[in-house]
Amino acid sequence: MTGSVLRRRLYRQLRQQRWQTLAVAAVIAIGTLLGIGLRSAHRDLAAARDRFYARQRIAGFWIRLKRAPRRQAIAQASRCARWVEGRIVREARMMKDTADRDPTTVLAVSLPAGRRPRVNDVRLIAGRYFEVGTRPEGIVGRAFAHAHGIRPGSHLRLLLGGRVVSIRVIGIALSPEFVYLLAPGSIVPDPARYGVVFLPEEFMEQATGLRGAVTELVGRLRGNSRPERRAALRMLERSLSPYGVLDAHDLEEHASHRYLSDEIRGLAVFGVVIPTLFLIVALLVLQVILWRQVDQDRPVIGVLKALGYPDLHVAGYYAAHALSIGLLGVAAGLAGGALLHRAMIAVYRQFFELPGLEARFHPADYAIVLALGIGTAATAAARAVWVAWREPPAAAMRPAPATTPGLSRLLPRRWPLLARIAGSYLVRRPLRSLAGIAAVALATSMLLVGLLSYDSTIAVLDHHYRHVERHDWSAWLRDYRDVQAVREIAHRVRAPLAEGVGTVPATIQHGRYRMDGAVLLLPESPRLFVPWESDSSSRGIVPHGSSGVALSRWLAKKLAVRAGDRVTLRIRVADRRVVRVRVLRLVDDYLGLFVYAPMTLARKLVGHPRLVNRLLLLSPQGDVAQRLAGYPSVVTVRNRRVERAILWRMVTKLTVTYVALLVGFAAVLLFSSLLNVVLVSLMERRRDYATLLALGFCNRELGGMLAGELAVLVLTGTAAALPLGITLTHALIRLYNTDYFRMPLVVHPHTLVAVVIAAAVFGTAVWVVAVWQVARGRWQDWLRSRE
Amino acid sequence: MGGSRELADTCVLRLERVTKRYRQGPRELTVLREVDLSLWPGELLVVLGPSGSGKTTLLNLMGGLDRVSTGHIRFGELDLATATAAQLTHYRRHHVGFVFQFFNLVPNLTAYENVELAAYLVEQPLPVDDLLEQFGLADRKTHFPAQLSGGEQQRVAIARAVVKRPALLLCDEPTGALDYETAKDVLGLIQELPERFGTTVVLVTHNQAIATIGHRVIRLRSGEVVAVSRNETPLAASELIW
Ligand SMILES: Nc1ncnc2c1ncn2[C@@H]1O[C@H](COP(=O)(O)OP(=O)(O)O)[C@@H](O)[C@H]1O
Ligand SMILES: [Mg+2]
Repeated sequence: MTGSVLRRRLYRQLRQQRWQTLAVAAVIAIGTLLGIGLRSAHRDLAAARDRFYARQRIAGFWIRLKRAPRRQAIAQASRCARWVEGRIVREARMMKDTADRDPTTVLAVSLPAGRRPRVNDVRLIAGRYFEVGTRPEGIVGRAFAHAHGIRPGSHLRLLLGGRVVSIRVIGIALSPEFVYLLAPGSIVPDPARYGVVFLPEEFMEQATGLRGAVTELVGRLRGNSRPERRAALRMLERSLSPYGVLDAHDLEEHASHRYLSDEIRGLAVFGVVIPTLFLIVALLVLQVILWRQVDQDRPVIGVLKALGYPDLHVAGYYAAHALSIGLLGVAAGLAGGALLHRAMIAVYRQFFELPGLEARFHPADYAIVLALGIGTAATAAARAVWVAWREPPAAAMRPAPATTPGLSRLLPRRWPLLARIAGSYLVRRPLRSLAGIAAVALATSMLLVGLLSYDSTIAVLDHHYRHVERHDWSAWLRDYRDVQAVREIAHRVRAPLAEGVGTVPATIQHGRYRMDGAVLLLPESPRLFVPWESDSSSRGIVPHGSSGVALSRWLAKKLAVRAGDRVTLRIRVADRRVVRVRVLRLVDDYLGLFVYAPMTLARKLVGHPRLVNRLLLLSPQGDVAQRLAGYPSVVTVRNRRVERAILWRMVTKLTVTYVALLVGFAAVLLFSSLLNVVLVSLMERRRDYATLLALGFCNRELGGMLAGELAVLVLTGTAAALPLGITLTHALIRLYNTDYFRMPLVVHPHTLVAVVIAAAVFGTAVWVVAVWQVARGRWQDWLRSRE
Repeated sequence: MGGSRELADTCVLRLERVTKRYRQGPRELTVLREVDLSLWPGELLVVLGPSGSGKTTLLNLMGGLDRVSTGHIRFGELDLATATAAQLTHYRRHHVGFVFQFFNLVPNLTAYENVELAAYLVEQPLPVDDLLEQFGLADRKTHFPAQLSGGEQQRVAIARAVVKRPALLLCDEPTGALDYETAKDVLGLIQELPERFGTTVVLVTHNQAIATIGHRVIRLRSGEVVAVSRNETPLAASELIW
C-alpha cells in the first residue's frame, strides 16, 4: 500500500497516539463484539428452535376441551387440520416426603404408548419411550428432573384424578411445546414448583377416569398463510364447542413459543441497532482524529508529492491509518464477540429447554460484522484521503490557512482572554466540534438507553406485582366455578380476604380490527387484583352499577378504540356469545390483552352470574398453600412473593446482564469519545498551550481553560443526549413490545441526574488526563519548530 | 568565593557550571557543558553558534522553560535549578519575556489581544495601546495573526514580550523566519529595547553578522562556550549587511 518508510512512520504515529488509537479501536471493538455476540446468539437460538420444532413436529394448534370422546373429536378436527392427536392433559400434584410450603404441581400429558405422537413428539435425553401397555411409567421434563434430582429409575408419587399414583420414571425428555414452561398465569418458569410429566395414554385414561376421552387436541392447521390457518382454527373451535372449548390457540399464541420467539426477535433488533450506534460513534471520533492528522500533515503531504510520490500513494497513507485502527478494533471485537456469544448461549441454556443450543461459528455474520467494522474505518477516512489525494504539493507546503478568525469574531469581547481563546477553539472548526459533541451525545444517550430500559423493566414488575396483584396466594381452578364455591374454599382455609376472578378467552372486535385476548371478570371493587394506574382515585373497574368494561390501553390502541366506544366481544367458551359492550375507561397494563369487566357482566357474557376460575387470597400464613392444594379443583397454587422473587432472579440474570453490558460499554464509549476529542484538541493546540506556559501562565490557568472547553463539550453533549436517549429508548421499547409483554417508557428524574453525573465524572477524568498530558509532556519542545 | 557572590548580587542572571543532558534511549546526549555566564542589567548579549550548538537549550534554561541537569542558574535569591514548578512559573510570569523564531502568536486572538494576554499576567504592565503605536502597529490592532506579515507578527511578539516589563528578554533567532529588510527592522527594534525599557536582552542567532549589534558576544560550539568578546561600539542594526 505505502512504501516501507511510510509504513514505519504510520507505525510510529499509532504508537505515539496509542491512547487515542486504543480508545477508538475499543469503540469499534465494542460495536463489533455486540454485533457478533447478539447476531450469533440470535442465529443459534433461532436455528435450535427451528431444528427442534421440525424434528419433534411442533403442533400448529392447541385446543383445550372440558372432555370429548376421542374418536369423534379427532374425526371432527381432521376436517380443518392434519396430524391431529387427542390427549389428556391434567395438572397433578407431586407428593413429597418432606412437607414444604409451596406445593409442587406437574402438568401430566398423555402420550400414545408404542408409537410416537404425530405432533409434539418428545426428545429423549435419557431412558426410553413407552412400550405398549398400561404400566405406571413416566417421562419427565429435563428442567423439572434436574430441579428434583429425578433420574430414570426414580419413583414419583402424584395426586392425579383424586388419588395418589406411583410412577416409575423411565426417561428424561425435552418437548418442543414446553421450551419455556409456565404455570398458569405466571411469566417465569419455576422448575422447582412446576414441571411436566408425560404418561402413557391408557394409564392416564385409567387414572383420570377419562376412558375413551380427551381433554386436548393438538395438530397442524390447514392453510398456507396465518389468516387461513386462523380461520381454520376458528372453524375448529366452533365445531368442537359442544364439547366445551376452554381455550384454543395457534403456535404464534402458544406461550412457550411466544417467549422464545420474542427473545429471538429482540436479539435481532438489538443485534442491529446497538452495534450500529456504537459504530457511528467510532466513525465520528475516528473522523475527527484523521481530520486533524491530515491538517497537521499538510507539509508532509506536500513534501511527499514534491518528491514524486503519486497522489494515490499519499492518500493511501491515511486510509492505512484508519484501516489499521479499524482492523485492530475489529480483531479485538471478533474475539470478544465470540466470548460474548458463548456467554449468552450459556445464559439462554438456563432459561430455554432447547436441545442442541450451542454457540456455533457463523462465518456469514463474522463477514458482515468485519465488513461493517472496516467500512466504518474507511468511511471515517474518506475526507482525509480525499484531501490528501487532491491537495497540490505547493498548497500543502504553504502554512495552513486554518487560522482565519471566522466565527471567533462573534465571541463577546468582554469575555476574559482565556475564555475567548477556549471559545474560539470551539468555533474555529465548527464541523469538528460538532462531530465531537455528536459523539459525546450519542455515547451519553447509550448510557441513558441502558439505564432507562432497566427502569422500564422494573416498572413493569413493580406495576404488576405491587400495584395490580395484591394477594398473597392465588389458586387456579381446573374449571369455571361459581363464586360461592370459591368463597367456601377460602373460608375453610381461613383466609381473611378472598376474591374470585374469571378469565374468559374472547376475541375483541372494533370495526375492522380484532384481537384475541381475554375478559377478566373481577369483583366490582377488587382489592386483590387492581388492574389500573396506581394514581387513579377510583377503585372500581368501571363506575358502580354501570354495565361497561375497561380496556387495556395497548389493546385500545390496536383496535382504535377510545373511551366511550362500543366493542364486540366474541366469547370463546361456554355458549360462545357475541356481546356488544361500551368501553368506559382505559387502563395501563403490560402483560397480555385484557378486557376488564365487573362480575355483574358475567351473566351477559357467559350466561352465568358469577363465573370464576381463579381464587385470590390474602393470608400471611404459610400453610394456606397446603390446605388449598388439598382441593381437587385447585390446579396450581402460587405465592406472589415467591413468584416475584423468581422473576427478580431472572431479571437480574438476563436484564441486568444486558443492561450492565450496555451501560459498561456505553461508559467506555463515552470516556473514549471524550478522551479522543480532547486529546485531538490538545495535539492541535499544544503549541498555543506551550506559548501560554512560556508567557508565564500556570498549569492551573491552562487547566481552567481546558475545563471550560470540556464543560461545554460535556454540557452540550449531555443536553442533546437526554432527549436523544429518551427517544432512542422509546423507539427500542416500541420495537421490543409485544401483545404479551410490553414496557412503558419510564423516565425517573434520578436516572437523568445519574447520567449527567456520570458524564461529569467522565469529563473530570478526561480533564485529569489532559492536564497530566500537558504537565508531563515536554511542552518546551513544542515551541521550537513550526508545526 | 566572596567576590563572586558580590557579582551575583548585581548581575541579573548568573549561570554556574550549567550542564544539560538529554536522555535518548540508552544514551545520554550532553547538549550544554559547564556553561558559566553572567547577564548584566541593560546589556544586549548575543549568543552565536551554529545550528545544533545548544543555543535554544541555553535560552530555555535561562527562561525557566527547562531545567538544568547539573549546575545553577541564580536569579536573585532564586536558583532555577532547584526552584519548584510554581516558582518557575512565577519567574517566567514576572521576570522573563520570550520572542520566538516562529512568533508563536495565539492564532485566534487579535494583535491587541495577543499583547493583552501577557499584560494580563502582571500588575503594572505597559499600556498596550502605546506600545503597539510605538512599534508601528497602531492600525493593525484588530488584525489576527494570519492577516499580518511576518515582520508585523514578530513586532507583536516583541510587544507581547516587553509589555510585562521583564528584567530579561530572551529572543531565539527572532529574524530566522524573516526576509533581509524586515529582519533588519526587527533587529533595530530589539537593539533599542535595553535603553527604552531597561531590560537585559539575550539574542540568539547563528548569523555572524548580527553578532556585531550586541554589547557582548558569546560563541557556543557543541554545547561549550568557546569565546566571549566585548563590542565597545556595537553597530546599529540598520547598518548591518549580510
Ligand atoms: N528534547 C530533546 N531531546 C534530545 N535532544 C534534544 C532535545 N532538544 C534538543 N536536543 C538536541 O540538543 C542539541 C541542541 O539543540 P538546540 O538547543 O535546539 O540547538 P540550536 O538552537 O543551537 O540549534 C541538538 O543536537 C538537538 O538535537
Ligand atoms: Mg534553535
